[in-house]
Amino acid sequence: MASPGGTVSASAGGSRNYKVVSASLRGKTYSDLVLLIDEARFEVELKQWIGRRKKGQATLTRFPVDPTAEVLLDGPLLRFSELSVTLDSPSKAAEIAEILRRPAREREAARLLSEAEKALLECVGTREEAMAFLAKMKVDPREALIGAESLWAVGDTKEPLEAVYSSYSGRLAVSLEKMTSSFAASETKLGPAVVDRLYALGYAMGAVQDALFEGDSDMVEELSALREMGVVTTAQELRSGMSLEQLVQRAHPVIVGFATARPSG
Amino acid sequence: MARCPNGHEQRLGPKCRICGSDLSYRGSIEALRILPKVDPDYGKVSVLTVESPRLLVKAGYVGEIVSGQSDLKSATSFQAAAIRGGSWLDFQRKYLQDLRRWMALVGMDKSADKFLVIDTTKPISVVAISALPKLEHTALIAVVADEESTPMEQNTSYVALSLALKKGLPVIALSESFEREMLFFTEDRGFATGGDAMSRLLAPLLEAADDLMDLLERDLKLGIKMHCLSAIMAGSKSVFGAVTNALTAQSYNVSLGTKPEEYQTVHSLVFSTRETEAEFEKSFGAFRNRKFKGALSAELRFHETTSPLYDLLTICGLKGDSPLQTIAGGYEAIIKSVPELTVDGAS
Repeated sequence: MASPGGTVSASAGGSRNYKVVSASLRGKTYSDLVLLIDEARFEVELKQWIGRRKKGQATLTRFPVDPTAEVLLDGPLLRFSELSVTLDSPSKAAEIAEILRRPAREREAARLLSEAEKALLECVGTREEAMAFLAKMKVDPREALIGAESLWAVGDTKEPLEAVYSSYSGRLAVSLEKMTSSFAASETKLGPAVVDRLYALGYAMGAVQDALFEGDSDMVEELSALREMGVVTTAQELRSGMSLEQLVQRAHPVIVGFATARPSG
Repeated sequence: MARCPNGHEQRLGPKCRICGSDLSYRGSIEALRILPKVDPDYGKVSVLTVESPRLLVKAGYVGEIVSGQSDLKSATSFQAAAIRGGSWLDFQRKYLQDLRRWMALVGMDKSADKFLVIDTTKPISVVAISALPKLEHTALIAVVADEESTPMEQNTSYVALSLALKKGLPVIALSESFEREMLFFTEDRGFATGGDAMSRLLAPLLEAADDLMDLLERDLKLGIKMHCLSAIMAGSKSVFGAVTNALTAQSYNVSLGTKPEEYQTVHSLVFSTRETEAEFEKSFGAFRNRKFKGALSAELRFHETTSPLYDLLTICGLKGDSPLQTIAGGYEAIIKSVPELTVDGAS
């Protein structure tokens, strides 16, 4: 707990204490206060020193912070919910604002990450479809081409395989473009480290697809790369058709960690 | 390849194994755009049956073209819905493009040797031959109309055969009567008639596809496109005695009503045990000298089997196109009533 004259914030058991110069609550102004922030519960408590020697504290208010609430920062002045507090320095006010804005930032990061992951899945999904077709071409070319007939336009003078191949290549180019655009759009908010992870994951998933196509049964390098990205799986699982969604789901917590650990820009 | 800020390259993983820096895949993500190339194997021999019984033959691919209740397509079958009262021209108008497309999808041009086992008396046969691209190493084993066929069948068969010959395809012709009356008896499998007999006849022939195509293409270079066939299936010493007798006996059961003087080449394919090879060679030489002295080409190809029973198939190359002449009357009779049903109408 902050001492009456102290200016430092302290963190103990997930709680932070800040010396508040003055505060305004429901039209009343108070001075000589302490603001406690319980990060785990996401609660704030405003206490006032009482007594001549200021040895006791009385709670003025205590409330859970609305994670959607707007947090306004103006130098040492901070406004959120129905509370307005002036801290002893702008840096302290900024530190609190950072804590209070975290849920909103996490929500935004989750949204952006989900969009980026969706674009990643679409891209590797398109590639997966193409690879499945090509794998079938190796085993039963006639069945494969009959199944992909819709990708060979009537009147197309190309050979069916060439036409289907071109069609898949075209679709893949479009979804790759969409994926990189999505990554670029979210990079400002998610940060380059997160986007680098997404690229690494996409590349590793492509490497798994290539290995499965080539019949590489061990996939040692691919598995190790995935493990480093938080995706624990086995060659058996990958061979037996583990879905791309599952791979991304397993990588998600690590990427979320990267995304939310980053202070807002 | 991913690259770290210090320039180290690595195939996979988020961190550089040399310096521990984060790897960037931004420059290498374009690799995802690359799809592997495939070199599909379509098998060495493709057999496409057209309105013929399903064949139990060993081939890389056996597909069928049939008319049935509805339009159906799969990797092994193209079924055209029957057209009530329809002639080959009605099928041609409705299905030619579709069938061309299907043939491309099933890679009709991809196997080394291609055989069409086709009943040319059926309307869809004309469409099948029209749809077939001009391909090398392609031959027809065709049931053709004969004197006993109806004029409509004769017209259809005439058009189908003419188209095949125009495309330069060699034809082994079996008259409709020969096909209908085909009957084989073997001690191990009993009687075989109809589709079973056709399967029995064509199984060894198509298993020797390499030799068969070689012989047909040699004849083609001599200008011989049309062939007839005779066969002894499951022959044995106890039935025929000397091999010469078997060769003589089969010459009385020929797939077309042709005369020996029309024969320009004679080729026998034998499927028997190794120890009989010399006797077949010797007998074939004697048989050729006796009955085909003037043949432009005569050859015996031997295929070793383990069965004590032998199969003997002889293909004779014909001068001209006598099967067409046999059915020309019916063809002409039909075009008098329906002038569109000419060979030119199908081209």
